[in-house]
Amino acid sequence: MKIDRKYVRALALGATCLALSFQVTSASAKDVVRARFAEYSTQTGPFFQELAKKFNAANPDIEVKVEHLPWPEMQQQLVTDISAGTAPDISHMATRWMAGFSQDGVLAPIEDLMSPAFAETFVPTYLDLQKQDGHTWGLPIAASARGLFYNKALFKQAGIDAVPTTWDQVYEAAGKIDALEGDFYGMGIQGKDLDAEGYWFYSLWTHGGAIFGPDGKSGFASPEAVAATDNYLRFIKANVTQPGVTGSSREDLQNLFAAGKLGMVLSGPWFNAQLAEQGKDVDYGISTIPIATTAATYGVTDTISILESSTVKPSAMKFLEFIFNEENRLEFGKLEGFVPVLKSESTAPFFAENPKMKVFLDMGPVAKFAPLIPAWEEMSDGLRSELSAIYAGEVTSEVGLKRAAERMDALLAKK
Amino acid sequence: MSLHGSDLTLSSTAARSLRAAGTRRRRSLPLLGLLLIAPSLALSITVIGYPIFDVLRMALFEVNRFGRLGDFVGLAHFVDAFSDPIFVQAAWQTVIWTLSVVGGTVLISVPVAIILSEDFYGRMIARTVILLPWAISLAMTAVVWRYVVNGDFGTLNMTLSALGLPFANYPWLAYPTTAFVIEILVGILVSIPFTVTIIMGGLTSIPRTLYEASALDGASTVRSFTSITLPLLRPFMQIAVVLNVIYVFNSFPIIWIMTNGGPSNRTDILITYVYKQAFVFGNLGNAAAGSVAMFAMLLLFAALYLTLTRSTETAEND
Amino acid sequence: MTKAKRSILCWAALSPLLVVAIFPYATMLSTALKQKDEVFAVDQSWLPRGLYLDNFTRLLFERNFGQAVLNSLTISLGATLLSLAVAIPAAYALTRLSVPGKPFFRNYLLITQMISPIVLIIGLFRMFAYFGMINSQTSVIIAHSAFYMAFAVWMLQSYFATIPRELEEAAWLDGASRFTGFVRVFLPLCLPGVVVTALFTFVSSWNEYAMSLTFLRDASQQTAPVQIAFLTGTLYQIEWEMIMAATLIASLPVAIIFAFIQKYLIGGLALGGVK
Repeated sequence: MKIDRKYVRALALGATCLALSFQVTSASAKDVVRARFAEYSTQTGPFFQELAKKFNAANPDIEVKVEHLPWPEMQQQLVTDISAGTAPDISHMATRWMAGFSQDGVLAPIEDLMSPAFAETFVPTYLDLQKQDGHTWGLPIAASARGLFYNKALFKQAGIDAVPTTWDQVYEAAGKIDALEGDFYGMGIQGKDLDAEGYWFYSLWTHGGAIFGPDGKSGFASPEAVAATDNYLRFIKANVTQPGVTGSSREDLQNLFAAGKLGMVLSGPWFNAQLAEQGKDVDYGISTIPIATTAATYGVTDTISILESSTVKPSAMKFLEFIFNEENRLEFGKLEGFVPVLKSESTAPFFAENPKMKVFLDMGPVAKFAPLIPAWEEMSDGLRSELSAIYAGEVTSEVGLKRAAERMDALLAKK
Repeated sequence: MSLHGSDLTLSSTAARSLRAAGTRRRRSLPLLGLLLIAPSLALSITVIGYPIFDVLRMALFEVNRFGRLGDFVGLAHFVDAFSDPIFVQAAWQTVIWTLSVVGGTVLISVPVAIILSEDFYGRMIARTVILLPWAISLAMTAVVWRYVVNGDFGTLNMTLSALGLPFANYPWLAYPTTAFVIEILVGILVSIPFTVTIIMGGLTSIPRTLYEASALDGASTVRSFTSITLPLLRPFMQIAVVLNVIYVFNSFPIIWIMTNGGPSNRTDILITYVYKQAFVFGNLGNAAAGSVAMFAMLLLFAALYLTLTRSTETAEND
Repeated sequence: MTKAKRSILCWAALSPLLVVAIFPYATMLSTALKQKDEVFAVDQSWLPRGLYLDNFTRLLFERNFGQAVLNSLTISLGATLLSLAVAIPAAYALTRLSVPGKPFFRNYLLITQMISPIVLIIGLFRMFAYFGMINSQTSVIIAHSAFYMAFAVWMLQSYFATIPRELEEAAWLDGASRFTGFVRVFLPLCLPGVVVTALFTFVSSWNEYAMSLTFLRDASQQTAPVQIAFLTGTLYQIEWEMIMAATLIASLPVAIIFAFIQKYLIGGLALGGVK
């Protein structure tokens, strides 16, 4: 234990030296704020760089330095940085990581740093998601709901007149599209990589299921969950999905849809931006997530937080308030295609009058979210793994889901 | 070369006659030897030593996701890791992965190296092309191959169906077996340049006169291959096998980028398992224990392999 | 057998492997010349719509990818020089001098290769952060050298062992010191081995990803593989045409080196002849 404390002291010393050297290099008494953003598209980095430039010009006593990283590297970099004492002052992260981070004490609660009226400008649903144990741990930098994208040309060709609103109708429509001459697939189902579990939640929630059962244990193996899984299985068994569900990531599905080969896919507002570039010829519409018993959509937010280790928290907060002002936020929403997180944004014509954005706003009230618990990544990984075994026909829904639920319960009991 | 050749005969006779007098004095200089080794030792102990110490500590202490240490927990992390069925599965898959990739690589590399050592038109071009896979980083190779084997848009299926084969939109990475086979093939492809280079180096060290002599004795090509080439290649094969096993065992990008260990963890190997534990799940303790276990496995392999091959080698030398 | 006949046989035997080795390059080239909406079109074709070079110019001028290639070059050259600087003396000592604990040192070198840098990344990062060396190319050079040095020692040692001891001993008889003998006689003879070893180190460093990614945070410092990975890393869309163009650019210098290095592989052949 002795070595241990010595080591911690050495580390602290190192961190202090590092902090000092940062301050020395930054001329005089300027507050240097390092802000790290994750990239949604190649425009994300330049966008925040531009904002920082404007902010620095208007605030001579603060210098914001923007770093940007691709999403897949974010988590590892942030963990390594925090462990070595080189973390930035502000960091972007997935909201689901926030739960673990705040519990380990590396995030700063920001409710007392914010100016009084600032919190009031947010859509409460999204800001509430950033709160835990009575503190606000960050701001919702991005929010999305999901909807059903459908290819109008394929619908017409297959003689489908009405946009399907229930899973049964989707199943029927998928069969018709798949039967068309050529390599067309009816309905896209994701079985791989990031958010594969999210794709299952659409079915889970619209079948009346939930991630947690009434007893506070896993709801993965509930009868509703089994029905939700069997719902996807009938698409797979009838061969009306894209080939190889267990090998399809979100991008794969989006690429198929952009190429005009896929009749329907569930995705989010960002997909509009991709289709505008890559699928110019695809005439598509967006509708609500199909239902079985209950209306629902998957709401996801990303968070931007101030780290506990920051020595310039007020200046960091000032920059955050700047990026969340109405004008900058609206520009960001337009750029990346996210749903509004500010009340004022929601009434902007870009969202309210654009049919390709409005549907996501309309579904806001039925949005459900993934839980904020520290071991969620591990639980959802277990779920993803079982789902792909189920989709591949190796185990039945009951067996696979039961195993996923057991894994989740074991993790719940441990933490 | 003739100049060098005559130098050699001259000097070797001279040296032989004078060896006792002049050279023994210069042969054993333990201090100089240590001095020459010191920089390399210092560099690697400083850079690699501390991180190893860090991993060992995380394996034995309670540790949060940011590496902050808590109480000593003994072997608890090891028990946790070993009782995780996915760890056991990944360990098994690591063995398959390593054996297949290294085995395949050696089987292909030996004949390729022999052919490339032949004198034929365009040899330079052939050699350069064989080395090409090595010119791209593993991570990028994996990204490119992920695109190549994409079911609907990949160039593999495009080419296969142009040849009339029924793979129009076959999803190679969707099924555990085909995904793992593809990853193994990519693993072999990227290991070939390194291995071929080493074996070619070995081939050039075999004196041509040996072959000429055996040809005079009437030995067939096959016979001179088994009695001259293979035995003399042994030390080079040994290097190639040990290093390939180490690199392939620890090879992360191909599997991580192409399948992320899926579907259903069926292509997970220990290194992807450890990475997930550390950076995705935040279980640094389990990850550290897994790393130590991996290290032990490699150490065991190297000790066994080197002892086995060394004993045959010395038997021949004596 | 005539050389022409032998050539046909050799090419025929190598052809399957050659095709597989070229396949990804052909894919890269074909995709890099495509426009965004061509990459995922219903009808796929090897041939792009037209000669479209915008992806390359955008990479070099808008994304500043040339800087990344330059950074990679600096780091790889630095790592190669540093590892050779420590490996050549060590390998010489191992082949020519009696060093106490020689087997121990050899085993130690092997052991340092057994641990993947990925596993050690947190510890490595903490250490370099402690010395304030984050965002410095020097730290990557040092780290690369430390990891690749062992292999260099190994390689060199096996080459050094093929040099007849008598050549040096003759030089000593002529009154040369050990050092002069080493520089004048020994090194020139093992130049092919040194070059091949340098190549191995260079390529490993050129392609290394995990350490470069973790240590270098400024875009102006980052290496080519890291920048390429960044192209794949946006959340909602992968720009395949840019990635392929970048990968092609990044592998070009190494491919050129390979073409040149052939000479030394033949040099190695002559070396065997001396023995």
